[in-house]
Amino acid sequence: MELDKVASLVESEYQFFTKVHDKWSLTKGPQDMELVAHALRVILHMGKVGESLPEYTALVNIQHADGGWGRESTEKESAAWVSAFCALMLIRADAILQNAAVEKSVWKSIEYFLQGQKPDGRWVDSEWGDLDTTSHPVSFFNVVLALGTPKMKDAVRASWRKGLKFIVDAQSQDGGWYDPVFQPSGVETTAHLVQDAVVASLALPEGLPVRPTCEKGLNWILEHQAADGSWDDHNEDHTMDCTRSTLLISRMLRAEEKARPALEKAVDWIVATKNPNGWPDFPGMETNLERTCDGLDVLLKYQAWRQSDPLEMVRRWGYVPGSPTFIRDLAAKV
Amino acid sequence: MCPAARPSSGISPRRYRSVNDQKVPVAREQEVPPGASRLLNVDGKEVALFNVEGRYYAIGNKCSHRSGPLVRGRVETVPVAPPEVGPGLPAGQATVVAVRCPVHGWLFDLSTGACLTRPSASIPTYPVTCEDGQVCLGSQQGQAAGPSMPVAPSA
Repeated sequence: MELDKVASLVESEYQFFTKVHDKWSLTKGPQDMELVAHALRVILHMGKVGESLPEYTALVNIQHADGGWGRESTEKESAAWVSAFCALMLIRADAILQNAAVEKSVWKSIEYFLQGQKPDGRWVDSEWGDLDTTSHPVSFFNVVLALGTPKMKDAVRASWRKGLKFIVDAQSQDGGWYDPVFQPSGVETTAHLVQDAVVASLALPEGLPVRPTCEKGLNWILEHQAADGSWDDHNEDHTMDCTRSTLLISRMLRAEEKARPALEKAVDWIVATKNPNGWPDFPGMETNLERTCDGLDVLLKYQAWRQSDPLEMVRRWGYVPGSPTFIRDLAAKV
Repeated sequence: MCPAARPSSGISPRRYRSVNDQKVPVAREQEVPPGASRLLNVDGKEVALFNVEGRYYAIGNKCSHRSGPLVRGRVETVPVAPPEVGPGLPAGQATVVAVRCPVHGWLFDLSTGACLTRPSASIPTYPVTCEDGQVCLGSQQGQAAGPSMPVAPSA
């Protein structure tokens, strides 16, 4: 897709995103925390962290004493899946903000995940399958190992390896990950696990030998794409997951040429099926704000994938040790 | 396992209004053949209508997890471990017809609305009758209490 078109869409969709600030911001009242985390990821990749401290302060202020967050901002019980997403957004933001309260909150969330891990390496959440749930703390710990302090890294390393092993061991012979209760088709689970948990070990020391795991995962995702570019029966969420996963894995494996036709078809489909403002769950449906955040995220990562610096893509996941820079921040400084 | 439900019309739901809790005709039988589903709007509420091998089911369209559209979901026959199974009887002998949310995979018993993934998250159902070739919907039923949990298939 033409980069000018992508840039134009990013700008118009970001305008829409800011226009509906009341619907996702904790500074405006109680919110669905999964939506909040998705929105903070947009802020991160748009290079707007530095001007968004109140959003992060609001997130810190509702953190539970155990270090987690609830599914709703008013909910008292912590949930692993959304807590990992919130913690990930905080550590990514703190690489830019360097804020003591945010760092303290990250520490509390690390403690939450160290305490909550099961002996076999998994984390559990009643709303998500164990594989999917486990991929999120592992993803958070990937970034702790890439961007955190030496003390943080010492604390998480053993836990991270156990979680990663739980995921790697669960890969099927065909390269996919299946959850018999939540995701028998395997599309979303495979796309999540390979991008969020596994592939970072190609960049981080002391990981597991995951290259064959990633290669099989990428092949599985490419094989399951429909002819029109979508995945899982025109599912926008899962198509976006698979697209992002393919962007990252193909770059890390240097398999860009193999993945390029699938990626171009996928991005074309995602753009063709968006609403005038935002994205739906399925083509033709009303706009879903969380899906809109996903759509923006895909476009921003696709932009990064097209940059001449191959690492810019990987920085989007925070897996490049010590380098939390963003294209837009860099552009602003020129 | 049944094939994935095929929404028989576009995404925009047909709108209906019930009068004094009377049955409301919502479709002709041939418009929703076996294996198909249809999104309806009854009194402002989205309802997913399914025809599973000739039997009709109507259920609230929004998944109680993340509001995924159940009308797009796959219909499955799911083994459950019913609480009434006595000692010595193998779990999983009973089955229910369920729809799987297309977004994150939560399962709902089409007969009762019971959520098989998280017992506290059931959704409403609507009684369906067929009269003179018309599929009719009754008033919303109460939401099911905690159901039996599904039995994961063996690897």
